Amino acid sequence: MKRIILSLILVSLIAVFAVNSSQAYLSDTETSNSNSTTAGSLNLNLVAGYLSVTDPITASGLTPGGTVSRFVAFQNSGTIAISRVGATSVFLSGFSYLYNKLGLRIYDAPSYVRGALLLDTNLKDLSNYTIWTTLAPLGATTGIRDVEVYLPSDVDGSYQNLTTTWQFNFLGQQ
Amino acid sequence: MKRIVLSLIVLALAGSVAIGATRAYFSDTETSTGNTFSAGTLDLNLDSGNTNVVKFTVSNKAPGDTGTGTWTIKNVGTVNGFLDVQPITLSDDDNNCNEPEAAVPDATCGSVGGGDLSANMNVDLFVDANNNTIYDVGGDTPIYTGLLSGIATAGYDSSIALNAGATNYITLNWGIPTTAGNIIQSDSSTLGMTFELGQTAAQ
Repeated sequence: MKRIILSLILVSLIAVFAVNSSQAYLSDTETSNSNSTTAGSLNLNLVAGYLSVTDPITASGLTPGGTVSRFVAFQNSGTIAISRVGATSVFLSGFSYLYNKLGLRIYDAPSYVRGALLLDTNLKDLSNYTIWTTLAPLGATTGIRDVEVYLPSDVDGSYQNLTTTWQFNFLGQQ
Repeated sequence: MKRIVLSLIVLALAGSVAIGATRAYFSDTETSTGNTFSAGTLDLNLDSGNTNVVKFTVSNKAPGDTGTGTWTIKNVGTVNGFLDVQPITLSDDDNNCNEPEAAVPDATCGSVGGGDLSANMNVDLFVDANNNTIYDVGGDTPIYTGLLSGIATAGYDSSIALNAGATNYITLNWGIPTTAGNIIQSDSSTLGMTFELGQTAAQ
């Protein structure tokens, strides 16, 4: 009886070995690792010291024909070039009656010196205007414009003592 | 009695000799030596080699950018095989967190392993039979199409027949949609792929 059991065990082991052997097919693998894609960055900045969130255009006591202006300087601190900067004006508060009447002029301003007049329109009509093109990455260049807001000389007395607040949005695009 | 026994033994031996003599028929032998049995080889080459292939390392990409990479797969062995593309590994990093990305907002802004690029990047992985980097309907075999983040780490047991000496191509086209936006700024994705040539389709 003992011999029979040993024989059966031996036969089983041989069978298992045979099955495993039949699964040892040929194979080969090659790898392609470390393929990487990295996005760049695009970051439009308003140069400090000129028109900015913390340094807006403010004017009080303007009379008909009066103006107030500020330089605005753009810089790209990202790694991807900015091909265009769009400018939009948005009314925030106060008298829209006055806001709708204000005029806007944008001048070229190389080296922070007023140059050629580029745009003369109503402030309310400033919508995605191309105020600058091509800003190289990593702050290599600076785009400078002179922004002037004015109260037209033909306004009547109904505009006296009115106040308005608006916002310039500058959008840098790749 | 002893003599009788000896006589019987002598007779028996004589009989044996006689029988042996009657069996000496004509005969001839021929040989078949040198029969050999050799195992074949199954050897996969990737881009003509056996070392890791870094197919693309692209940086400073932006929405709207696209690219392509094609692996040349060759069975340089003597046994026909079947090709699988697995396992696949994928990792993301957010790297830096600049002001536009933070403003999205991006909850993983700047974190290691928290990048958003693979979830905003389309890929098309296919067997490019004619090696033209374009998916040809009816001619090419798709492996995976969709967002890179959706690619599985396993399961592409494609069992693409690759006979001994045959070459095939696998292309990966990628593109970052123009709708991706600032959430991917400076993010990176790293893709690892393993090509396995097996003797059987079931491997």
